Amino acid sequence: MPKTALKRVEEVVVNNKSGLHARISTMLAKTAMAFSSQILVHKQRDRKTADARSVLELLSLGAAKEDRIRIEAAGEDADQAMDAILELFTVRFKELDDEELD
Amino acid sequence: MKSFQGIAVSPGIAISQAFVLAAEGVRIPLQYVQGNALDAEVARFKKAVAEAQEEVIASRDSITDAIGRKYGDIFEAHFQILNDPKLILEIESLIREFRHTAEYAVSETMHKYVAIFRGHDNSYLAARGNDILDIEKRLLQLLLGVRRERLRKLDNPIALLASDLTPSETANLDVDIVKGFATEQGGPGGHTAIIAAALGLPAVVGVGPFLNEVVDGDMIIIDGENGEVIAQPDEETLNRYRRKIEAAQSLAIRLSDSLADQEARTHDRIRVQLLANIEFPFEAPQCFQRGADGIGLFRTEFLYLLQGRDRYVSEEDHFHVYKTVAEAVQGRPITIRTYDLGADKVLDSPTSFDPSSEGKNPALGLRSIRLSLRNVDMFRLQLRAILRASVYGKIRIMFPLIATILELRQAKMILADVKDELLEEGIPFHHAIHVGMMLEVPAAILMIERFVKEVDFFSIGTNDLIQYTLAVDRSNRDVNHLFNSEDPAVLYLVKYAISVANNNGVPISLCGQMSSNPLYTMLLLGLGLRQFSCAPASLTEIKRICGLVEIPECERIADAVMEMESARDIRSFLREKFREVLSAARKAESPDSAFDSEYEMR
Repeated sequence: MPKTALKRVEEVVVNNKSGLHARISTMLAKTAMAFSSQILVHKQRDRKTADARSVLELLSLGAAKEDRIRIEAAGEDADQAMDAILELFTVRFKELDDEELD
Repeated sequence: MKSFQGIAVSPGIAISQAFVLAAEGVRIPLQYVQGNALDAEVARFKKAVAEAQEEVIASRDSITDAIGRKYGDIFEAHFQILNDPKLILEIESLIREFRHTAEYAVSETMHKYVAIFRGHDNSYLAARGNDILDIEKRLLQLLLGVRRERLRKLDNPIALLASDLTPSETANLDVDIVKGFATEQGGPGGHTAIIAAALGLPAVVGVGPFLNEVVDGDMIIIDGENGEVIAQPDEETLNRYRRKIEAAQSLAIRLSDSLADQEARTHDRIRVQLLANIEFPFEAPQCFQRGADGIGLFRTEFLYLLQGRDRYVSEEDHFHVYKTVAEAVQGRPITIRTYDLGADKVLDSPTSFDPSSEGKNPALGLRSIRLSLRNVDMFRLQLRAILRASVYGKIRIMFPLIATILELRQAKMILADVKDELLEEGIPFHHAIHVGMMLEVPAAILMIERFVKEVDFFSIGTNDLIQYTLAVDRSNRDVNHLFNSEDPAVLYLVKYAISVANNNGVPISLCGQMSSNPLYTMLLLGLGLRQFSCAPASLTEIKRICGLVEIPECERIADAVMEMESARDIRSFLREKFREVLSAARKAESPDSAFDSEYEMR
């Protein structure tokens, strides 16, 4: 890990109708790939972990509405990465939910 | 040495090196990459990923423009999956560490994720498994497409081993390179099989899963007589097959030398018309080297198969083909059958044909004459070309799959209309051109008393007749044991059709696979058939059998057969009679052991 490494951990609750579905996972993976930090997503119910850059691992979590998620970001830009991801969970995912078809 | 049993569909023996071709959408066989080719294999995989990414981005943009971002985002997700670093790494390590092919590594990894998705108690996620399969298919098409491309660039002979081959792929095989083929899927009487026989390619289909037990370069024997595929044969087996090839070659030469210029007659001097079934124009001349009396069936579907996304087959193309064949047959009759397009032939559908309207039962669906009557423009174009060519030879028109009298009248009405059109345009054609129909739907045979007044000739097509009489899909391995030419019900219909046609003086021939098999020759003669339309390769055999038998004897055989209860009884009885005829002939003539052993293989 680089010298200036930071680590941040946050917990969120999945608040979307269909959980971490394809559009949300896609957006999450794209966001994670924009940062150099390693970002892990733990689903607490069954202690599964996904690399946030991997849309397939995110989907494989099968995280549903009301699932508790722990996010860990580690690296130089961990702060910025975490802010961006939290914003997805608190703001953007809800907007997507509203325009969802299914 | 490994041996696999399939269904023999095109006779002959091929001995060559394996070239394995798997299909999209099916489980890819496990195959290994040579150690020094791993970098190239990984590069091939990465190139396919990059191309797939470009494709989905293009889909995303066009769909977003057309119906909105919400829908375009589906492809955004596909792109993100193709861009998933974990996925790429996982597939790459399967290639590098386990030396799997790119195709296998992709398929394995994707199916792993599908299983994970479907394992969740979450219908949304389970449905996403289909997206993964879609991406898998896209990657495999890119990877295998390259391999199919390679097939066209080979310069050493190969035995082609494939999951399945479409009729158009078969028609496009380079017979100088491909010495024979074997497929996991397919059944007897499929069009792939018919084209293989026309090309003279030894072929075995319906082998079942076997591609994971062979690798490129394995020595392969394809035995198109017994339906056997042998990989890595031992020395003894290899020599045995080499001797068979030599014997067959010398037999073919002797038969064609001695029989080509003689008319086909039974031993008691009854004249039999021997006609040939052809698929391609280039086959016509060789039929006459083998002594055919004409072309009993010219299948025209290959013209349709030439039609690609960027190639339109015009009236001139049709006309040119028909004229070429008419001239090649030098005054002998030639029967041109209008398009008999079935579900297994329609690939890149023209806009006028909507494949989504095809039901689950394509054999009972919009095919053959029904498709022609629906696509009148296509049908008229073909009829115009046939009529125009009719001044160059004795051309006859035949409609396939007629089931009702109204269908026949509708087809004839369109023909009359096309004639009027040509007349107005001052284009010459043979006004009294003969028009006939296939008898291959039981309904048409049951009602033949009515049809007999409205056609100039009939031809019995046994493949479809068997399928429709016995309600058996010949490519379904679970039921194809019921698909028997010698089933009593099928023979009852054949007998009835021949007798009604003969009583009314309307010529009738039989152009199904039954007439190409010498086992049935005596039976068919006994039922009153005097026109056989068979595969070019069988002409001399059938002619020889005719020359050995007498009509009263054949009639007794037919009477006995019609009393029997099962296909099995009939087949063993016919085999016995066939052996008797051959052994009597052998005693009478000089010993002809090669000829006899040829039949022992059947």
